[in-house]
Amino acid sequence: MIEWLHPGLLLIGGAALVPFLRGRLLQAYLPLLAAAALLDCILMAPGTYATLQFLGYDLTFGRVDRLSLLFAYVFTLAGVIGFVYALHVKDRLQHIAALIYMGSALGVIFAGDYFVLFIFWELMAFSSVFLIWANRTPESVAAGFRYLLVHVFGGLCLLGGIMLHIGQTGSISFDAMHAFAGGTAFVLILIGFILNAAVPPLNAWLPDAYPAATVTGAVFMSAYTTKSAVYVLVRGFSGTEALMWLGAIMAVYGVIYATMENNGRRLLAYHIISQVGFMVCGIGIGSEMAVNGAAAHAFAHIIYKGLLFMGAGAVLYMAGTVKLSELGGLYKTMPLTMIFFLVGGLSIAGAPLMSGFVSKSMTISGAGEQHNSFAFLMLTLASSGTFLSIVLKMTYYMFFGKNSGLQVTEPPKNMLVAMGLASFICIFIGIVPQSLYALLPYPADYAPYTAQHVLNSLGLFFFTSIGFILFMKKLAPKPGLNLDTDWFYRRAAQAFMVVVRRPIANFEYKVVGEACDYLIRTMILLVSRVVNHFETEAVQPSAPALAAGASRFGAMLQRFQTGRVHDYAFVMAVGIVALAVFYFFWWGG
Amino acid sequence: MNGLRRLLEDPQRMKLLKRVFFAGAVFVALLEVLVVTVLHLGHGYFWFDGLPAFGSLYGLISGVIIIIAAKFIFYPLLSRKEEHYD
Repeated sequence: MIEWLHPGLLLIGGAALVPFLRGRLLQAYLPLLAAAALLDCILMAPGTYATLQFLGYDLTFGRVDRLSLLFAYVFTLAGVIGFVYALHVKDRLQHIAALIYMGSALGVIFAGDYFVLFIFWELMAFSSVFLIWANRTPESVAAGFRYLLVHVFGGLCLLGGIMLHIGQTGSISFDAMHAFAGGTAFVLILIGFILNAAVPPLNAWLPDAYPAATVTGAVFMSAYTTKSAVYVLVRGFSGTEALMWLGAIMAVYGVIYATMENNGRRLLAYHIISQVGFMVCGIGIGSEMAVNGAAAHAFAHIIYKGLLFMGAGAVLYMAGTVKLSELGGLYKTMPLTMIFFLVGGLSIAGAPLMSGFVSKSMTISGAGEQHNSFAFLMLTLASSGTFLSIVLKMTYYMFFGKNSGLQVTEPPKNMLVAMGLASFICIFIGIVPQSLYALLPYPADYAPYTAQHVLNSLGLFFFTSIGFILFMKKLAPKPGLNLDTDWFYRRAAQAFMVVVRRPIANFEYKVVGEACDYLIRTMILLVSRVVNHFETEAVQPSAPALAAGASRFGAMLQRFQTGRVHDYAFVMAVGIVALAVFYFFWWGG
Repeated sequence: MNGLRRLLEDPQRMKLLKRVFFAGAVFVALLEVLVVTVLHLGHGYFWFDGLPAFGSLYGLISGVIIIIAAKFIFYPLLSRKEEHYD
């Protein structure tokens, strides 16, 4: 009996079967495989599994404790929902990429040391990029390459930090890092981690890449990369003060960009940054309640953010665009999608009875408990902004507002089922918060539903809406693009390309190319002249000579091959006599 | 959805809906004041979050701050054409 089966192995190994399945069998296989991984996680007991020796280091593939289990549950649960949503997709590349991506995210969650962590960390980037490339448009190919380059940079920072850390401590185990705070290794590893968490100024890859992904690919991407980064930050960097500041700023940063944005999926991508800001801030505060809040928020966030991406994806799939300036009035023909999207919107904003309320308020209370007014005010501001840009702005301009005249219907049934499932989980967690609190890393004794708290939230939303109504005309989305920190590397790359195109290309073309050309041309001419000489002088005359030789040999043979039986008999007799003589005098003697 | 459609497309009902909305906002703000001043159910971590109607006040301030920052300060600075990088 196997003691412990790595759910990531199950998924990555399971991906190998996808090319051989088709039709309904494939449709049943994908969600069932994700469900099997979920069951695997539910059944496993805390402990350390799958350790092996490698080059004198102990590799740990299975560190199972409350923290890793919490993330594993929600990763696999999101996988089940994601595959139900993607059932209609025929493109096997996307399914394989999603399975490997999900499996490697679980690999990161269960990794007990930096080697295993790094391998799965890189695998995550290299598998998820196919969910972008699978769109097969020039924009998505370019966005995918930018995504990959940024993650390779982050991976190199991480690798450098890991190498330094091993050099200093001699240990590869991945645990709380606060003993090494301020060192180069600490900083490099932290940079690698916060790049994946999309902390500004290392955030621009996210709103660049996610809107370029396929309809179903974006649902998977919204779940794993940033939240596995949240997990490693909880594990290694709880209580790092810089993260408190960065997280609080990031929560508002994302919201302000989201309020400017016209592309619906990019707007949601900026809200990932904002929501991960809540988690990063909670991790930075580092108290038990704040870290619990960060973990709970990661759980709730994966489900409601997936739901929002599913809703926006459904609109993109049916209407062909998700630009708010081109949409409007869809509630008439897509009422179910509208309701599900609204559930996701209310959850992310943190409305009472929704999952975001019970998780977000824990982080904010964590900030209050530590008397951190900066974090408290910034996170509450971001809550208001989330309500403003998703529930009010995005819902209004997508489903209500002026009629766009688009003739659309509800998306395929499997998409609706997946959105219904996610909506159910959002509401369930909102109504029964203890179901989530029971899974948190620290014991949680927190009551989200106090009269003051509920009323504060309602007041916040009502009066944010009044602000929206006052400025409604100014808020109408317009087509355009908003510069983010990717401006620096995209402009730098363009400048680099100008240098490459003009001087270097000229030098290459006019000097290096010409020189090579000249050299090769003379070499080829020389060789061809030799070959030509050999051909005319030796090969060509040799053909008639060979023919003449062959005919002379034939004439010679004719002398022996007389065709008369007694001639042959005579030759055989002579031969036998010769053999007998040879035998007696040579061997016999 | 037909009920919703009638509600949204009839200017008369729309006006009513707006009134109900503003009444709701005022009602919630009053309840917030009530909870802190009369019922003493609330507690604050700071001097400000226990003030009467903190949520409503901060909601209005936040909404306006974000709209002004996004639309009046950063949008003019950062907005470009969609083909900017092509």
